[in-house]
Amino acid sequence: MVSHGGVSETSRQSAVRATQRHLTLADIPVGGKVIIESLPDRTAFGRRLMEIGLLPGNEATVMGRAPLRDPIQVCVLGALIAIRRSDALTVHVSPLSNGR
Amino acid sequence: MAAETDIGPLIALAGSPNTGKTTLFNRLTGLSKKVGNFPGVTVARSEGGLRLPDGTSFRLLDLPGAYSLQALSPEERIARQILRGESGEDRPDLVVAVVAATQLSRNLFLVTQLKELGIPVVVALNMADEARSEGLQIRVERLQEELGLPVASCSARTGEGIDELLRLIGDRGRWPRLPDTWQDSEAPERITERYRDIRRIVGRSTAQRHQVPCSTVILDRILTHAVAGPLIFFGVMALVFQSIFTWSGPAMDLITAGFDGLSAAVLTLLGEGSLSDLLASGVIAGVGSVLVFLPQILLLFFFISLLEESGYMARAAYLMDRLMGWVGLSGKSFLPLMSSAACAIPGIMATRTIEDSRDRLATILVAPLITCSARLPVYTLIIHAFIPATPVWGIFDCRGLTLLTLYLGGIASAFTMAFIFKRTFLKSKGTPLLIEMPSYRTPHWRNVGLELWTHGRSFVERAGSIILAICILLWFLGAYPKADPLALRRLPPGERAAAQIEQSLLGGIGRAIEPALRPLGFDWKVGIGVLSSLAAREVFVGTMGVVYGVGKASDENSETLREKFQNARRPDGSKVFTFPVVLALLTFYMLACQCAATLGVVRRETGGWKWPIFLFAYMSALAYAAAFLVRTGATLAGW
Repeated sequence: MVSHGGVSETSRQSAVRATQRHLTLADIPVGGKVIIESLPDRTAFGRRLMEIGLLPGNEATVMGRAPLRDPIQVCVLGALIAIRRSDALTVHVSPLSNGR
Repeated sequence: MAAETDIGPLIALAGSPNTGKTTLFNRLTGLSKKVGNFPGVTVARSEGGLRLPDGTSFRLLDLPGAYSLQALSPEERIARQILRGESGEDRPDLVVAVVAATQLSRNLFLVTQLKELGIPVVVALNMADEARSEGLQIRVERLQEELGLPVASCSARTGEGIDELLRLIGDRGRWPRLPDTWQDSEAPERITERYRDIRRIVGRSTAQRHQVPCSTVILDRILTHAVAGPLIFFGVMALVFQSIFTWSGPAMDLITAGFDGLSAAVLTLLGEGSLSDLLASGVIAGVGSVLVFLPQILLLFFFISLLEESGYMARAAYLMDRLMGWVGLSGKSFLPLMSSAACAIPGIMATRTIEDSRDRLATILVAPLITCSARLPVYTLIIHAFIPATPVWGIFDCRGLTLLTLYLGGIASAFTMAFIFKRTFLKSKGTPLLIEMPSYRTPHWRNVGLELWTHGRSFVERAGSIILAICILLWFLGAYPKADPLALRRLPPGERAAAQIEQSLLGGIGRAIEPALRPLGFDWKVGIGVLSSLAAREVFVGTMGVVYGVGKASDENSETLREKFQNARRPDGSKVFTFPVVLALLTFYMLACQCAATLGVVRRETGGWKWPIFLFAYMSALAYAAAFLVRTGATLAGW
């Protein structure tokens, strides 16, 4: 998914760079507003997310997190949807605001 | 009206979940609603008749809710098959697409697919009242123009605009002719394209963008709060169970008194004899002992439909998903398991919303462990007889807390078994979860009432059929062969009935199985109760009434049956119901699968006898082993 910069780069640095490049829905704090960049649209679940409105170019707001931070509640097209953290990790986003 | 449901063109009601589709269906069909299953599969099917003011009749079919015709769940697959005419059922002549005005963009997605099927589509823009109160204005004529479909703005709850919808349905000349351009698989680009169209359509028909109502956002901040949420949830559950216990009291007393009176009236009217005895102790006592807990069933279904209608149930699934994840299930299994607290049968039927077949099977296999309402009369009888009503923290008492413990025990055992099943033969990769959380709303009382009516009726029908049959059979087994009348006369009146039972076929059967139940501390009388409740566990109470010779309608509140329980002695003079035996009995009933109807539903849902047999075997083994351990443990502890 991510091309490594140099041979000397540690895995930790590469992880940091990866998260910088690919901010996911799971990284967004409660109240944060984002634009959906991409999601795994070749999987049935990815398509389902698109069908209910979580598609690239659309706005989404993280509304809350269940106990133990999972699942997360997202507002998209005026509807509240809950998805698991592990699935939210596959949804790449760019932030609009950082929440409260 | 029933005859009218079979004639006329077929209309299919299609829509995404949470569009108020079922409310609209109920509004349009009223009491002509017929429920069943789609042939060959386990998806629930409701059909009803629709009669327009001008006298034309239609058949109305409620399709399962679907986000998309690119099906993920069995429900969505059925919806598509019917709409494509691939299901073996009639292909609909008209589709009424139900769309929530408050969720226009998202709900139009399915409509854009429905337009491609080659069937005329009419749009019901539902929840107009809610949209108005949220300040949403939709220009219906523009929407109609942009969509190229007739649109009626309406509210299934209040009934506004329904006339307009009926007019559109009845005006066959205006049904849009649509070409069949459907393609079975859809590339992601097509989804994006559909939403581009939707954005244009919605943009031209309304100036506002839909927002989550403030009240919902605020309520969610509290009710789904990481700490407060679960606390409130458990508080709600505790209150529900305590109210079921206390509120049902007066109504139950009334029913008991009614059946007692009936029983006494039969005895005075017919005099002493076999027939009056069959009627009084067999039929009236038996059925009465089961019907007496109709108030509890109604209360439980009332609370469950209240939680569902208000939108809180989806929050419960959200809060519980992580917890369910520990045992390998998802939040989607929560609702079926929660419904199983009323009855495992609707619970097992509710597993149809679980996409993953292994998750679904695991949920079906553990749902009967959740304490259902049929266990309540057994629990109530035993708890009232042996657990003191010592107050705890003001609002609770020892009895209520014992009941809560039994409920928690059922939940714990269900989770443990789910964990074991999901780790062994039902292993599956974590399936993605998607829960739509509708806005909070005040419950629609018509829907709540209809729910109570449907479940109350099916419960009474059960009491009138299977339970009645068992009661009559038991009476015969207990009444014959007759004991020597001379020997009976020498006994004090209070012991005559018990002596007769001892002589009878029932007594013989009880004694035959006694060795098997001795490790649990059950004597032959309890053995008969356990045996007779294999078909339906609530029969235990009625059976105990017959076996202990309570000559009138017995129920769990019956003073005499309770006293007989407390004073029951073994031949050696020791008490039958010592504390360890009481605990073992409660444990046994908590875990045993004593419900023929559940096994029947499992057979239907899993398509064979394999799983119901497995279910019965594992639950019986579990109940026996746990009851034995509890009794041994409690005895060793000196309780």
